[in-house]
Amino acid sequence: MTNLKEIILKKIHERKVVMRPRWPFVLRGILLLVLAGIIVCFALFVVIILTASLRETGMMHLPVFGAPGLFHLFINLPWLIILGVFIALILVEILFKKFSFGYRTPTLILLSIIGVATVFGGILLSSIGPRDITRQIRNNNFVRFQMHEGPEFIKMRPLTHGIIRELNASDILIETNSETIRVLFDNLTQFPDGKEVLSIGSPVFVGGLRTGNTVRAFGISNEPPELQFYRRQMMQKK
Amino acid sequence: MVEQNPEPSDEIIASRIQQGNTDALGILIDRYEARLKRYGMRFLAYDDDIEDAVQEIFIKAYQNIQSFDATRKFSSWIYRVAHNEFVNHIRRHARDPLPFLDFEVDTLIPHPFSDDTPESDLEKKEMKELMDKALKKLSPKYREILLLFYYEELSYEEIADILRIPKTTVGVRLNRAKKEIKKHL
Repeated sequence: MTNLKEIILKKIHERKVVMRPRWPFVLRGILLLVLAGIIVCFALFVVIILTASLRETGMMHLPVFGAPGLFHLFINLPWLIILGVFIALILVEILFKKFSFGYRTPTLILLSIIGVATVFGGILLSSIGPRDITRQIRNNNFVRFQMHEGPEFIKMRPLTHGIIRELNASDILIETNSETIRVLFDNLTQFPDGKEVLSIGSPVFVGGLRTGNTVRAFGISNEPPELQFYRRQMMQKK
Repeated sequence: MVEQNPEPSDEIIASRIQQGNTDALGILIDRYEARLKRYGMRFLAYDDDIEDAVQEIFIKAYQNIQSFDATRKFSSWIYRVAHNEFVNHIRRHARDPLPFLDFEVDTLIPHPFSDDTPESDLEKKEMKELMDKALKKLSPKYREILLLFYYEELSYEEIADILRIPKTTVGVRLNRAKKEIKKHL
């Protein structure tokens, strides 16, 4: 018997060293899973709000205008929130790495699965969930969510939608929920639904940046039905 | 001819300890004492306190044996315990600063491919000779991976389990460690 072996076994027999029971390890594993579950649910909740908000504001429809639409959707995404979700998922991974008594987890695969599941789950749930989720949440004071909401945010959005009230060779006048805006268009402006959308009284969806009460359009199309729904609601309230 | 029973595996012995056969720990101590001492002496780059450190590893292994999954390799598990103990030892002695969190970008986002190449026995022998000369000059991060691969002769899978890094990162880190050690010669 080696000296080291003698010393250790002596300590064990004298009960100076005691084996820890199994349950704390199991409990720690369960707590870790619960914590990870809470973080994932939070991430899912944020994604639901995010996609619902993008849909309800019309931002999700910007890609119909091709590259300029995609570009504006991309730069207008609430990156801080997306970063927050990403950090939350990394936190889950760190927790697993530091505290799980299991072995190495394939990090990239795990993160990808959780990330993709969260994003697609969020998009799916927000699409089958009730309409106007963000407004309902705000009205119930459940969470104050300023993203894409409020008059200042609305003016900064690269999109406008309303009904054409005046039609000229290179501009139109549209009436939105709250104001009248002149929309300028040229040869570069995209018309994915054709130029027929330009008729007095028709509801249109305009992609373009705003300066004062003028919008320089990079695309004009039919107004998506859900935006018409919100506009009607606003009109009724007025 | 009477067939002799093969010796029970480490995992079977660990299961016996979990079931209360504490004396079975002696067999594992016999099997791992020399290996862990050798690993520790090279990893810590000094040999004082190595007895205490290895004793502490076996005590911690015994105390936490219920966390061992008997369907996995015991060697990876005990080396992981040893890794933690040696890292704590380095931190306590502060001779070689280590980051507070044992967590890096390449452990989170693994390299898609490891740029390792198969080595011949001769190359491995040459590498060991190089390591004997310059190992102490390396940072613990590179020192450890070289030790586990060349001296302990563990597989990428086992090293990945011990260091809790992706398998592809093992290959990349090993290559960096080899380049690093060559700079010190």
